[in-house]
Amino acid sequence: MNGRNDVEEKLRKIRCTTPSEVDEQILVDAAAEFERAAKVQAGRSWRIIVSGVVIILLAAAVVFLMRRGEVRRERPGVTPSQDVIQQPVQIEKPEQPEIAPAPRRPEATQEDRPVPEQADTNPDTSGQAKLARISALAAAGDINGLAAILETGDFASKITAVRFLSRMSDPRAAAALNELAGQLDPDDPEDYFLAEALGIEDFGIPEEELEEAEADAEAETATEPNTPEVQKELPSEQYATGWLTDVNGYTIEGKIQVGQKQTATDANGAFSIERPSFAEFISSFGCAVSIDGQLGTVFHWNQDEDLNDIEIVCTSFASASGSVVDVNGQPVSNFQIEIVPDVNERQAYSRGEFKGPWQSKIETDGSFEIAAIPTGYPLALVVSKEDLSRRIPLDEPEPGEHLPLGEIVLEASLEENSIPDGG
Amino acid sequence: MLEDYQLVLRLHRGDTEALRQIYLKYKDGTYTTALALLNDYSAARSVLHDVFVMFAKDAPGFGLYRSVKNYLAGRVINRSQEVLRSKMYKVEEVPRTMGRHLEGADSTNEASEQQHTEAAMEAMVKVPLPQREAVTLHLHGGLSFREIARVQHVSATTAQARYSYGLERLASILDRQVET
Repeated sequence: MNGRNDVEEKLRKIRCTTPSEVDEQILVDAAAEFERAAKVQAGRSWRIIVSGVVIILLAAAVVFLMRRGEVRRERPGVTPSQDVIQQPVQIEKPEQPEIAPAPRRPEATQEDRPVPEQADTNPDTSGQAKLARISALAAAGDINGLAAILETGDFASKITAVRFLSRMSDPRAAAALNELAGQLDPDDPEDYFLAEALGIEDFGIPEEELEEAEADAEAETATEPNTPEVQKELPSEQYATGWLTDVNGYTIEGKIQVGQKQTATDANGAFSIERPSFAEFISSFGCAVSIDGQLGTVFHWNQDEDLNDIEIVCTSFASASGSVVDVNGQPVSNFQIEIVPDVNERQAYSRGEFKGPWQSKIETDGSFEIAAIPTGYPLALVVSKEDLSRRIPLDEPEPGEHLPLGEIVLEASLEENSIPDGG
Repeated sequence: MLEDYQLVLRLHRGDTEALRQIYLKYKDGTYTTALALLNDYSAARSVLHDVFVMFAKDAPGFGLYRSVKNYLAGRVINRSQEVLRSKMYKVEEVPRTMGRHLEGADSTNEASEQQHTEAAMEAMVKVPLPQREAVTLHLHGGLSFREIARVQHVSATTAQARYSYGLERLASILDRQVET
């Protein structure tokens, strides 16, 4: 008897090598190819360097011409030579020195910063200048300066300050937002869109309707324990988390089923599903299918496996076709097709309802087609009708592979059968 | 890994001797992997040739921190799959050229070792391809399950399961061979 470990040991010892003349031939060919590729690479490198230099020179020329044009527009009376001489002065002169990002100050000294006075005394009161000033305060982390704008600024400045304060998680932002919402007119479409942009969700909705909606939302949250918000609060040991990706590593949106549990990923392919209970079983099987139904996979999780940040890779489906006959060779109709993980008697598992995207089609003449068989794990096809059944291992089909299963004879046994000859 | 890094660095400088050293380091693993997948010496040598010529072509631009081992494993799997899928290729028609050299096998037990190897390789062909790949990449290519998963575009758990299934199937096939 060959045990698994014996086979592993035997195979590990096998180390085949090639005759030296074969080695020499391969090395000669490889060296010739290497030298050719090295020459191409060198030529490519030079082309890249030359292209880079040309691009830099062109960019410098464009910048030079643009600056010259700007100065000429601002001072149409000056001669070109004067223009060039005065150019650095024109360009480097700061228009609004106060909007430059100020260094972060300690909280104690920020208290004294006269921000509103600066805003009032600045001669440039255009909307852009105000926005730039508020952005500068936000960049400097001056929370008190932003709060002061809530007191003294105009409506647009207040809105901008509120947005920055809310990003900084300042509690004054919420109060100010409510106050601003009160100043908006629900009947004015412009105000309505402004409220929506600011995230004021209940704007223009009567209070009774609002209370009703909140009550509904609370009731919905209570009946849906699988919503992401609830999952976040539960201990991570109870949930398996991860990503659904395609073979290129790009995340995809889809659905996942493990044992009896099902969930859908978010738009970025991230999922969180209740960890299978396993009970007395060592592993649990699952199936993942992309939202467009084009990709999928079968996977299994072991009891002792780390189920955090798992990557489930979906590939193209395989397909299968065949026909079912009875022992006399007569076509059978109205039979059931089931696809299950192909495990042996030593591998107990919690299969649950192993739902897949099979897309099976059964004709009255006994022929059938299964268009979507996920790959990734050995599967078996179980054809059954009343007390007759036949189990056919599909091994592990390749993505995109079609499995012609030929004629399948229904027998009164559930023992594993091999693929029929000619199938 | 550090040794590979230095060899790739030398390749970037156009050092052909580095290419030779990489070949000598990985040729046996690559050849054994191809042989386990194809069970045909001639085809396996052809795959070995193609894989190293492809590597030589990519060598001047090969990433410094890229794994040579994983690159070769991926190439040998893809090339072997191409050979298997090729309509022109049929195992029966390709003559089995003689000359398999086993490391550590002296003249007295060489024939016995040869027989074991033949039996194991013939059994390997009966294992489904994904499982065969997982077994040979782990045992002959020296890849971890995570690395195999990357080559096969599956999760590490699936790669491990394929390996496990492949070994079990090999054990049962070898048992049947002994019985007959």
